[in-house]
Amino acid sequence: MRIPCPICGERDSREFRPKGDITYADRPAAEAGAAAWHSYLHLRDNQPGQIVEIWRHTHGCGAWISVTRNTVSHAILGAQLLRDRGQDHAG
Amino acid sequence: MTDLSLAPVVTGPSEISHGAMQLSIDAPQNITALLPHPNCLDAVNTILKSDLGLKFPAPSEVVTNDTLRLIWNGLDHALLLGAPAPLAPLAPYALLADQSGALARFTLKGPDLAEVLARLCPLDLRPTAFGPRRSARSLLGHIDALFVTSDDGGHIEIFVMRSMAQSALTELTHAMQGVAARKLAVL
Repeated sequence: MRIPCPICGERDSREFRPKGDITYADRPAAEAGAAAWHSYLHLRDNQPGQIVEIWRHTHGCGAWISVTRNTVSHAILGAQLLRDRGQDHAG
Repeated sequence: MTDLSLAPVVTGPSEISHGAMQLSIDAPQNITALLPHPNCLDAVNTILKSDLGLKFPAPSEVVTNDTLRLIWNGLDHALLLGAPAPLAPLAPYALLADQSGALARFTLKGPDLAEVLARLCPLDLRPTAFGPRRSARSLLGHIDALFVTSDDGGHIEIFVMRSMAQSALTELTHAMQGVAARKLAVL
């Protein structure tokens, strides 16, 4: 699997570590309540097909990125810096 | 504090060769990590240009003047190597961390550079893909490393954390021996 790091270009997947669903990039406010935090931490659709995930180029430039990929075809459809999405990293 | 720079980086000789390849090992002095604060890249560049004749390197770039090299080392992270330089004016705009003696440097030379490193690193380090004066962060076996090509592309410097130096030496030695043995077998 090859992942297109927005900084380094296309790199081998062994340089990356997955963090999880992109939901982790949208952390609820501290006072948001139990339901919002339960949803943030535990509730995922887990549908096959196109998903967006958080990965980190751990053994490369160190950037946190969001990767769009298809879990059925294994195609990697794109990646962008997570901080360009408005947050420095996933909480 | 213990002055790590006085201790040898690895046990054993600091220069080895196998087949046509030579490897030397040291821990360079006068390394400073330079990490601009958010939204301070313009200020950092202005000072780098006026004081040192340098600029903050783009990804994979190595910027040089007569005595200094500024090497891209990750997202918003560069390493300044060479002579002692006046860096105090940068302090309000960037994190500066002295890395003298903290990194082990392996300098690999010879005609089989790409073949040796292909056994350890997932990057294409052939001159056609990774030309002179470039840098990249990747893996050397299981070890995080910074790869830097020389001005003429004739050798590659590999920087690893000092604590990983002995493992890196083992990995590089095995790779050099393997390539040398294969060349002999083909002859």
